[in-house]
Amino acid sequence: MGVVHGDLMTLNIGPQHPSTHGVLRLKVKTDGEIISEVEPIIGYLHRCFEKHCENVTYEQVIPYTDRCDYIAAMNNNFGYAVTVEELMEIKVPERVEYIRVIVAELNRIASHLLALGAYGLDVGAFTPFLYMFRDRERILDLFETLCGARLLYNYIWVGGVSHDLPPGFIGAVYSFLDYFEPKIEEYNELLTYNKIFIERTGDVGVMPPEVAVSYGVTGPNLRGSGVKWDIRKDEPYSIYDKFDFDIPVGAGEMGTVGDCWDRYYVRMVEMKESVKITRQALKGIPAGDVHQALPKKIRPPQGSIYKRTESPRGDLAYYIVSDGSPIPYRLKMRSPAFTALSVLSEISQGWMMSDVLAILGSLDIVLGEIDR
Amino acid sequence: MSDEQIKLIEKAVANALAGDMDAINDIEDRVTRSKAKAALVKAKRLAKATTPAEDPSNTDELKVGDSAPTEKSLSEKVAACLNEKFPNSLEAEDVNGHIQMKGKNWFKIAQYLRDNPDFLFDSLQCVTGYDFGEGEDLEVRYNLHSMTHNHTIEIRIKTDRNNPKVPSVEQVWRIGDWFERETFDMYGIEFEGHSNMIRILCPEDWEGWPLRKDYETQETYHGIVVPKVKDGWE
Amino acid sequence: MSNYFSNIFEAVSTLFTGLGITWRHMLNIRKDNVTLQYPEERWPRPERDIGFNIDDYNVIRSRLQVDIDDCIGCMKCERACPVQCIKIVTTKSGAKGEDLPDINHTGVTSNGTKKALIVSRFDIDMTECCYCNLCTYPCPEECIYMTGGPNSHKHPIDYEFSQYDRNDLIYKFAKEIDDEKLSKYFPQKEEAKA
Repeated sequence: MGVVHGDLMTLNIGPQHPSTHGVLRLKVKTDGEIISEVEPIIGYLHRCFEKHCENVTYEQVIPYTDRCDYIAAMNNNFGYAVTVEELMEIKVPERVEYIRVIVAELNRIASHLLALGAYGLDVGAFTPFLYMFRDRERILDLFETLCGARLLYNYIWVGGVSHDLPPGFIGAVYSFLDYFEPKIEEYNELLTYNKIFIERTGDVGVMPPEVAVSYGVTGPNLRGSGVKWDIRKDEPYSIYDKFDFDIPVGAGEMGTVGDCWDRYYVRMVEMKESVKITRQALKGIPAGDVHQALPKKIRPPQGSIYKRTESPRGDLAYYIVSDGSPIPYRLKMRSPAFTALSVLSEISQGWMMSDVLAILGSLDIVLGEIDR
Repeated sequence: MSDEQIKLIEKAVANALAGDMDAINDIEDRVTRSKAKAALVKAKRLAKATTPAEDPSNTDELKVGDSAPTEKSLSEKVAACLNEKFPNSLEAEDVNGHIQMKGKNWFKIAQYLRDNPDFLFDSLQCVTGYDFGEGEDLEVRYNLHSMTHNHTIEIRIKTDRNNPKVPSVEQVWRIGDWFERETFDMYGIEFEGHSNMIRILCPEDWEGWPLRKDYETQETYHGIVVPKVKDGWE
Repeated sequence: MSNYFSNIFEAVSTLFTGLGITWRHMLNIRKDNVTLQYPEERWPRPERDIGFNIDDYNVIRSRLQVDIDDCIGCMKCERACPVQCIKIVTTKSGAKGEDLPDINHTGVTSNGTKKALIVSRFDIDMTECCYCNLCTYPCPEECIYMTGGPNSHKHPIDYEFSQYDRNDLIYKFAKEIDDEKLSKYFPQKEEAKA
């Protein structure tokens, strides 16, 4: 029997769509139901972040960095603060380091909850979405008692943090962690080992490790393909070398190594590891003054620096060139979701239409970070 | 400023230059502490101007205070290898922190850096465009990283402002595709050999190169006025 | 063949486990309900009371408010704002610390600082404001603040300030001063020329 081929049909998954990832446009060329090419078109959320940063002072850049990856804003602030501190050679007090780690890990849990909940929503499971949001609300309430804001914090400043922990915060975080750990088991029963979910995501969108490294994919997407690479362990910054935690990697439990289920499961296990890190940090937090090392005026010496940190989406890096004035000369933010989206066209060839959305959801992109 | 304050600051700065920052961090009074930090930065700048010390962007494992390193740093090793294999491709002799390169052999050099078992730079971390100022050159900076050896280098390629062209490394590292499109979009640098050199963040028919220092926003776009300041808010 | 049946069995059993979880939550719905029937119910800001007195920690983010009588016109908040949403125009008053009743200007702030400048324009555009709170830190008189929380004694909380027209969200805090009366205080250019 001969094979029937027709012309390729171009389908536009427009910038407005019910999927929850932001203003992303996909130009999909299909042969019937089978995808032959996916071209992501971005730029609908471009807000000229890098140009703004060349016109405001170093302290004023921090609200702008919040708004790039608005789901994990603390990690953006953290990366920026660590970069500028290394350029200026400021050493922050121990208490500030511990507070930053606690807050960054809590935000990692919140970001993964949103990613997994939205992924469930994409493939058709409506319940886990709201369950995960209920728990995410508790983390956002904790942040509200800490610095007043729920989503865009402006909390981690260069040289310290903006407010000290209020009394009762440590107890509240402990009670949240005790409440949250059994919930991960509940999510596993509800979504992770659900047969429909496994059929939908297992063996779909396999990303071989060489492809991942060549496309610059980092973070849980890379670890889902079996590569054990985490900047918190391999190039530690701040005080991550003091904590004891594992790096989960995808093992092909429900299909091939590097499929969507692996990337999903790596995020699920990472939440458990974040809980472990937070507990260790809460136990060891010392007393001190958090405003001690805040510089009066941020005026770094001339030079350039490239520093990488681990955000929930991958390897977030800032490249800052300073010319000695209080305004950055060049600030480039290398966002992990940018590279993750570029690999979509490579790994979705040959799959069917609904698989494209499953693959897109597993990459966990945030358009604010891609477009800046 | 009182005499004892001046003496305290000088002592703290001398300690900090020797490597002990606690002397400055222990100063109780906030004003004195910040004055001490400013004096430290000034002292370091003076030291750098007189002796060619390491600049803070050194990304490889040079030991601090080592005036005559017996072991070569990574940039120096790479530079030495490149000088052998591709003579006359390096622009500058000083390779502290970054390697300045000429653009002509960049594609082959990139393949060599990726495949050579000593270096194995298999991941291109970031491509940044850079503008030296109005009327000056443009530059492209690459940050390379190796997963197996866990080392990084930075490579810079300067190009002329009026006709900026750099060879593309899209076929070497696949992420070069999007990174180079972004650099083209923001600076106007054309990457020769790129398969799809169109704008990625701005609309395809936008005029001008936004991140250049002499950029002026266009007046209208498809008939819509591009506002410079909000109405009524001067 | 057994693969076929074990597939069916696995599918049915995992589905029932998931359904069991939702069923259990439904039975406990009175205790577990987390929905807030806004706007009939409003929770206080911040929502969770973890045991500290809200007056001690200035962590509220809401609408900006300025006590214009306390403002000395130093423009530190305007410089600190990352999105330039504050516009201040000041004039030298010529008489530091003195009340000027004809333009309704008090000479001394509530903290006892003598004012040397008349603030004729203090506009905050709340549509541009990014609620980062960076303007409240440098103010020497603490006259710019976010309403509510620890500042409730100065102004009750206000976070539901939506308007029908966008221009109504530009808050003008400076007192209305007649241009003629203000021009008395402009630097005398004729004297310099003469």
